Amino acid sequence: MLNRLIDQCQRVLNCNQRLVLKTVDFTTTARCVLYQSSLIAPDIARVEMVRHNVRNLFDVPWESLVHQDRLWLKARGQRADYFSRIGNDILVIAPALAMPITVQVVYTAVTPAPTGVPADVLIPDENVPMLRDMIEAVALLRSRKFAEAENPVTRIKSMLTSMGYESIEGTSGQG
Amino acid sequence: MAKADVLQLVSDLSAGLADQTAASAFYNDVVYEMGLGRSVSLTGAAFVQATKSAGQYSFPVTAVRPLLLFYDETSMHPSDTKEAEAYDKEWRATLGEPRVWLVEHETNRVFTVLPVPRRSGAAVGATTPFGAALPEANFLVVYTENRADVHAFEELIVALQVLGREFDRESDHTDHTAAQYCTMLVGLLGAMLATKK
Repeated sequence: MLNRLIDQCQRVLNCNQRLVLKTVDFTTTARCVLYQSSLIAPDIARVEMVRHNVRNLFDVPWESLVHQDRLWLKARGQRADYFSRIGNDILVIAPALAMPITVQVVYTAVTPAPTGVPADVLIPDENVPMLRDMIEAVALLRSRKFAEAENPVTRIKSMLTSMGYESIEGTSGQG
Repeated sequence: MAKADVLQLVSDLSAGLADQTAASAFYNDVVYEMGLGRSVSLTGAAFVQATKSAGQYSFPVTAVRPLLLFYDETSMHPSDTKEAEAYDKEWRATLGEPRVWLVEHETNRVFTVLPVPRRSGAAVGATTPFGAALPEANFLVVYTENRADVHAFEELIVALQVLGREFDRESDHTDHTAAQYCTMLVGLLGAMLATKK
């Protein structure tokens, strides 16, 4: 049970802080701009950056793609200029090229499930207090000790507030 | 399997009190509602074969909310019936290269395009839009997806949402305080995931 909570909380914290980053080479397909993230690497949580040689591609929000070029899906170019994430499952690398190229995809990885060995916790030491608060807050749900949960919850809220959240209470789960 | 993991987590956090049948139904509801939310997570894309003179098409079965719609690789704009009427009184019959799509006043899970395609698209078959050339003169829909398994990093938040609903449900283990606590945790952890978008 504790391992499960460490695993789950570690995943959320890692996604939030982008702590465990990996780089993978990925070969694009000619005349294609849409790719499934899971086929680039099975443990992708979020693509952070796409590089071609030493050049970082521009990160464009998917909502803006059409404003940049209404024909972005079929635009052809001499080199890849930008990338975009559509949710967590689709990666756009555009414009499309006549020949495949190999790009480097930098991504936040999903942390593996701990097996009980301390080395399994990949979160850096400075983030461990936050991880501990998260685990404590969730674990206290099981024992229904809500009054005791006030301290870890307050500390998590403080951290989020310091990150710029004006109202944590009003933030919905997925939105 | 993420769904099995989530349901196990629900069972663990409720100390075995949660009803697995109800939890499974709540899980499905939560995943569907994720697709309706403004934060886009589970996404998919699929071709829809265009047919000459046909103006209405069905969204892919797993689509929850359309995000982008293309005809022959050109982005189409969402619009409404009023604008379509202003554009052309006979818009349901006018042939051309589709540029606009509407769902207003259409049957559930159906979209209408205008102008209506003047030609049928190339055969789509089992082709997906990923890593493949796009078959000519067809529609491509990018959408939020309703699927069995959420991402690994979303399992805890989904489990807490399921648990919140389970505790709110009238049963021998109804606990509105626990439900509120779950909702509060969902807000906290959801805010943490939202920052990664």
